[in-house]
Order: sequence, then C-alpha cells, then structure tokens
Amino acid sequence: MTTAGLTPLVGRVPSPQRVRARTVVAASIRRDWTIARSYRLPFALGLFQSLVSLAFVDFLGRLVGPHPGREQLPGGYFAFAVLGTVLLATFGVTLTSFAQRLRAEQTSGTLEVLLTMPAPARVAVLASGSYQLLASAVAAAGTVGLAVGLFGLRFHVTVQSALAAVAGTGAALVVFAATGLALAAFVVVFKRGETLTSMASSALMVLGGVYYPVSVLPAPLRHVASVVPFTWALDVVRASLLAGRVPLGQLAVLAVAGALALPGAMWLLGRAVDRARRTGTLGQY
Amino acid sequence: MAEGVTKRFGPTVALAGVDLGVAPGEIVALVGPNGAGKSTLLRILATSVVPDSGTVRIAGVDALASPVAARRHTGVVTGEDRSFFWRLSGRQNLEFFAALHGLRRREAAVAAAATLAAVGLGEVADRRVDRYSSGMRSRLGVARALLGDPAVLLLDEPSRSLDPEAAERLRQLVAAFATTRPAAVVMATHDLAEASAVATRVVVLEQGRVRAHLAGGDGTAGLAAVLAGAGT
Repeated sequence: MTTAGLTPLVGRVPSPQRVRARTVVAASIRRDWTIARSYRLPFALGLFQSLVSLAFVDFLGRLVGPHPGREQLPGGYFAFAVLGTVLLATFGVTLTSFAQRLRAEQTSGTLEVLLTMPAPARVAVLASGSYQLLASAVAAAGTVGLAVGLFGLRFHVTVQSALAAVAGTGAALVVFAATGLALAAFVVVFKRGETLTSMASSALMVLGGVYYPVSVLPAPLRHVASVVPFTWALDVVRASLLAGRVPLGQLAVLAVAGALALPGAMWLLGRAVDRARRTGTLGQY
Repeated sequence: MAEGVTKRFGPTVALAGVDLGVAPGEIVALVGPNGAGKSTLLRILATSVVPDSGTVRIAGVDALASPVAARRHTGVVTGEDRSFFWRLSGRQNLEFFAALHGLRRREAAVAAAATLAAVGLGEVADRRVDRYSSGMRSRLGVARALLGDPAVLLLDEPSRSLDPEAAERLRQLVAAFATTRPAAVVMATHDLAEASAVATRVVVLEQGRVRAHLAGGDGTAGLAAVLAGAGT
C-alpha cells in the first residue's frame, strides 16, 4: 500500500445516488445466499425435514381416516394439514425473520455500521429478512411438490380460485411482514426478542388451525382464533385450492389488514430506531 | 461541523456544548481520557446518536434534519473487527456495503475493486474475512468507509488492535485520502504519538468539553502535558 495507491480512487468510485430499495434487497439476498452456500448441510437437512413432516402428516391422515368431516376438511386430512404446515412455516419465517436478522446484526456488530449507511433504516431492515422469506417460499414450493409427487396430494382449483390463493397468500405475507417489523422494532428497543417471536410462532400453531379445524377449539380460544390473520389466510388458501371457492370477504379483510398494518409497522420501526439513536443504544446488544 | 453539541446519558454529561469545525484536507485528532466524549462526538457526527441540543452539519447538510442525506457524505471506520460478515470475502463484503450507498451491482463491483486496491487488499480480495489478520480487517474497514467517496471521514480508534507497522500504514492511508480527495477527517485516538504524527490539529476533550486545540506538529510531549492537566 502506498499513498499513490489512492490517486486512482478519486473519481473512480461512482457517486452514490438515491438508494433504491430493490438494490439493497438484491444485495442482501446475494449476501445471505453466499453465506448460506458456505454451510452445505442445512440444504440436505431441509429436504429431509420436509419428507419427515409429510410422512408424519400422511400417517396422521391414515389414523384420522380419508374423509373426516368432509365439510370442514375438503380434500381430506392430508391436504388440509399439508397446506397448514407449509403456510405455518412460511408465515412463521415472515413473522420472525426481521427480528432474528436484526438480533444477529446486533450481536455480530454490523447493525450500527448498517444504520450509518445512506440506506434508510426501514429499507435496510426489510431487505435483511428478504433472503429468509425467499428461501422459505422455495422450501414451501418444494414441500408441496414432494406432497404432490410422492404422497398424491391433489388440488381442486379454478383459474379464479388459484388467483384467490395467490392473492390471499400475498396479502397474508404483508400482514405477517408488518407484524415481523413490529417485532424487529421491539428488538431495537429491548434487545432480546427471542421469547416474543417463539411465543408468536407457537400461538399460530395452536390457534391457526394447522393440524385441526379451529371449530374443535374451546369457545374462548375459537373467538381468539377468529381474529388471528393466520386463520383467515389458511381459510382462504384451503378454500381456494381444495374446494375451488373464492372467499372474497376474507380476502378483502386480509388486504385491508395488510394495507393498514404495513405503514404502521414501518412507522413503529422508524420510531424505535430514532429512540435508539437518542439513547445511544443502537450498537448495544 | 458541530456547534454547541450537548449530550447526556441519564445523569452523565457526555458532551457539554462542543464546537468542532474541520476543513477539507484537515485531519483532526480527538484525544482525551476515557469518558471524555470522543466516541459520542464521533457517533453524533456519524448520525448514530442524536444530540440533545446543538447543530451538526456534514458537507453543508443539516445532519439532524436530514441524517440520510448527511450519511451520503460520510465514511465511518469503527475499528471494530466484528463489523463484517466473516463468511464473505473482503470483496463480497464491500459489494454489499456499496449497495447500501445506492450503487448498483456493476458500480458496486467497481467501487469495491477500487477501494480494495487503494488499501492494498487487492490480492486478498477474494479471501474470506475470517481468514484476514487484524491489520487486514482494519484496512478493510477503511476501504468500506471510502466506498461512497466521502467528504468526511470519521475514525474511532482505528489502530487500537494493530502492530506499529500496520498502524503506520493505516495513518499513511488516511493522510493520503485527506489530501487527495480532499476530505475532512476526524479521528478519535488514545495514542498520542499517532495524534501528533497524523493530525493537522489535535482537540483535547475532557468531561465532554473541549479543553484545548493544539497544532498536530506540537509533539507527543506537548500533548502529554495537556492531558496530564486533564487528569490522565
């Protein structure tokens, strides 16, 4: 290294323009993909876990019988539970990925550096969870593919109901991303958010109707389940893919919830980062 | 740069009305005992801490009203080894951080290559950061700070974990960038020899106040005398 080594730098480093969210998201996905590839075993373990999960549901379905309560479980128990587990995994990641990633950045020492860069904090945090969301979507698609190919899962869809399933999943992802950003805001302020995120994931499994219809829950829990967006999302996707219906009412509720929750969560995250800047705790963990 | 900056953390007064101006091409070393307010002042200039009162302008931008705009003109060197993604190479790290400056993939690659070459890491650019020495990681920290071609470079004890030779290389690099760009440089350090050698001006902080301004060439003895008076 010589002092002359800096001369070519001046004028060669492009001037930073306005930071585009997609540029940061793409760079975050490349970063996390590269890190993920440096650990080889999790890919094989993920595939194994999908197969075990499908086999578990298949055996459970044989115990329950092929058509228990045909009105509540259109398509049979296996289809009902497979969609439940796949969506639980995907929405669970959406819910927890921002907070987990933020916590990892806190403890690894990169958070304060990230937040002194020109990218706005909300963009940096949103981008930080994007790889996990993408990976969970790919894993969900792979699990459904295995269920179709190896376990005989069949859908009953029309073009309209397939579009409804896509729209419902998208709207639910927005709702859960918003909740995930709110959890990330909690981590910025209180540092430890693991308990909260694991509680939220467990609550989804119990209340959302993953392995059983929520109608089997006791009345108080059933009322709670009826206001959990995960339950709405499962109802929409199951009705669309297994019964060929388009549940417009529930779709509309999900869309409105997403439209309200995301700006609110962004605002909350911004306030949390501002508070950490005021208290000087941005780099603490 | 900073005018009347005050910051309290609970009952502790970290900064009490600090004024600091740094011109392009100038290197200001902040020295003082632990708790004098050096790191807090740097963090305020870097916008990661908001002052209770006072004004901060970075390259003409009001850093309190428009922190994101101010960050476009600022490069920060934390002196913290952990602030990289260790399973990525030096090049991959810089390409990622360049994206946070708004550089697209191709521009980020150009910026990363240029800054890696500038700090003498071109030959190990594709080596994973967990296989870098402390000196290499320090230089990578400087490279990261230079990615946006900053008008203001902020360094917090950049040489604290370096051997004398590596520390001297780092000082040369900072001095070269300050004069070549030219950039305003503010560096917090406990090393009086470093402050005396690299700085054009030394600012002595004590209990959150500016106690003295000294010319950089005044030598270690002069600095030590002032600091002794400051209770170190």
